[in-house]
Amino acid sequence: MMRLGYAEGKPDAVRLSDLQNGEALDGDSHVSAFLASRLDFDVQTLEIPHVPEKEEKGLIRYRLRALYPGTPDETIFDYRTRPDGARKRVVVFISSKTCLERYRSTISNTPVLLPYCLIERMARALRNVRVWFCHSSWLELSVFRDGFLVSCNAFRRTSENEPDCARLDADLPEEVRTLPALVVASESEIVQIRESMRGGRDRDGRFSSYEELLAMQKRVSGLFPLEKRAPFILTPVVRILSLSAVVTVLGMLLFFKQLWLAEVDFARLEKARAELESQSRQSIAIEKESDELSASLFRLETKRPRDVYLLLSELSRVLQGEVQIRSLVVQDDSFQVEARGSNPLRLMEGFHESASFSGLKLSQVVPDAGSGGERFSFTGEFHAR
Amino acid sequence: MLARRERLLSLLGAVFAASILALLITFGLERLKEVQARAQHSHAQIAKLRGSLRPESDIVSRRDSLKGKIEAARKGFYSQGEIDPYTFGTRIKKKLTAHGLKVIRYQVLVLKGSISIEFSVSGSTSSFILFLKEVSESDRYWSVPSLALSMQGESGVMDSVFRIGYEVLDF
Repeated sequence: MMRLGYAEGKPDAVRLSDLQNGEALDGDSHVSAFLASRLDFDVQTLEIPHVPEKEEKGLIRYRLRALYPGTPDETIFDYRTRPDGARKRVVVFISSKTCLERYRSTISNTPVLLPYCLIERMARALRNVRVWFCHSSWLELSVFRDGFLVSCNAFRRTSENEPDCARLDADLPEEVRTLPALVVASESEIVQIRESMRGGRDRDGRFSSYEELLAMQKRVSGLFPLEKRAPFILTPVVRILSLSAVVTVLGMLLFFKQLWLAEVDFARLEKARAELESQSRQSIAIEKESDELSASLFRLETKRPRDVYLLLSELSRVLQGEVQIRSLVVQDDSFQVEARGSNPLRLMEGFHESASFSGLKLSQVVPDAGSGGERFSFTGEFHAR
Repeated sequence: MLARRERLLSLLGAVFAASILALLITFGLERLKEVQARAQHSHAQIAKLRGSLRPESDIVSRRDSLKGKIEAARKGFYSQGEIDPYTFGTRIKKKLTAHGLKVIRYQVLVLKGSISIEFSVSGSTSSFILFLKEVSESDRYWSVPSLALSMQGESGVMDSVFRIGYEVLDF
């Protein structure tokens, strides 16, 4: 059986006690829930059309303005809905924010209940019933028709004015007074109420002590639950900070990726440059080797001796058999020829046209009485090898 | 008090993180700038190298061609100690005789460190020319540094004094 505490708002604090025996409790006491003083909360009933669940609260808040006189900003409410054909029946539990905060600061997140939460199941089974929930500080009359709460009123009990159910019943309208009664109270008060009702029409009314009522409760859901705080990481500031951090990290990653790409590109260029330099060095070495080979070849060509036979062949080509050589002297590149023939001047032209000869000089041209031609000598240099 | 301390710690953390980020970015920017400058320098060097680099095939071809020419040119020279003046003189004298030329006299001359053999010969002009042709077409370089040739009238006979030597490769 669940153990129920009782919480009642006082001007300076919220007083806690055990519902059944009245022993004082504190906020750390192990109770299943706290029944809140009916005097600290108001209960209203509404009918609303079927609207999407997310719009329900807004609609109820709107409708509540016409029913509840409190300042909307200072008012807080919770509600329970049940479908009833084309509409929904709504039971609204209303309190001031200050009062609820005082409760919460005292009982933390222990569920808060109002009598409706405890009697609703039983009243729904009885369908048409008026329920008196009696506490030493107040009385609550809940009227159910067809299982739906239609009205709920609370009456303060003080030492000077201690109304009881029987006396209050007398002031109820006929249509309420004629409904079957269900009285919930402590064991001791039930005895008194039975006695006072004995003579009345409700002598067959149902009575339920707190113990019996609590024994019937399988599970109750508290009112005004603490709003689940968004996890720390989901708070707007953290979200902005996280987003900024992610953007910054992504930016940094992009930036360093750019840097990395530049480094890779540079490494590729360096590799290409090194390869080209190596090729260049190799080419220079080959060219140097070629130059040395060329110099060696030049030296070999220089060392190659003059070809006297080639000189004679060239002379015979230029002289064309018209000239008879009498003597020939060759000394290194120079040569001297004494010959006999005709028209030596024309022959000299032939030497000038040949690239193998240079420095040709014609001298000593004298007529040759025997042949009718001329005797002459010429000198020159021969270059071909 | 606690919240103020937390706020201050958060602020300190944020400033520290921002400083680290700023340092990283500064370092990264400097590094990026340096890398870009070096890359630009490398680009310029690569372009210069590519511009100056001749095709390797051309260079190698030239070198190989020169090597071939040198190898061919070297074949015409005697190596040191391969031949001596007397062997060479005997060989020339034999050739002169083979061509029907009469060797009147010959002598070995050493002029300026160069050894040559001077021959005085007489005979047919055409035989002498054939001898000179053989000298010219010899596998080795035989040099004729001086030659004096005079015809004896219209008979086709000549007298000649010439020096002949051989080339030795001294490098």
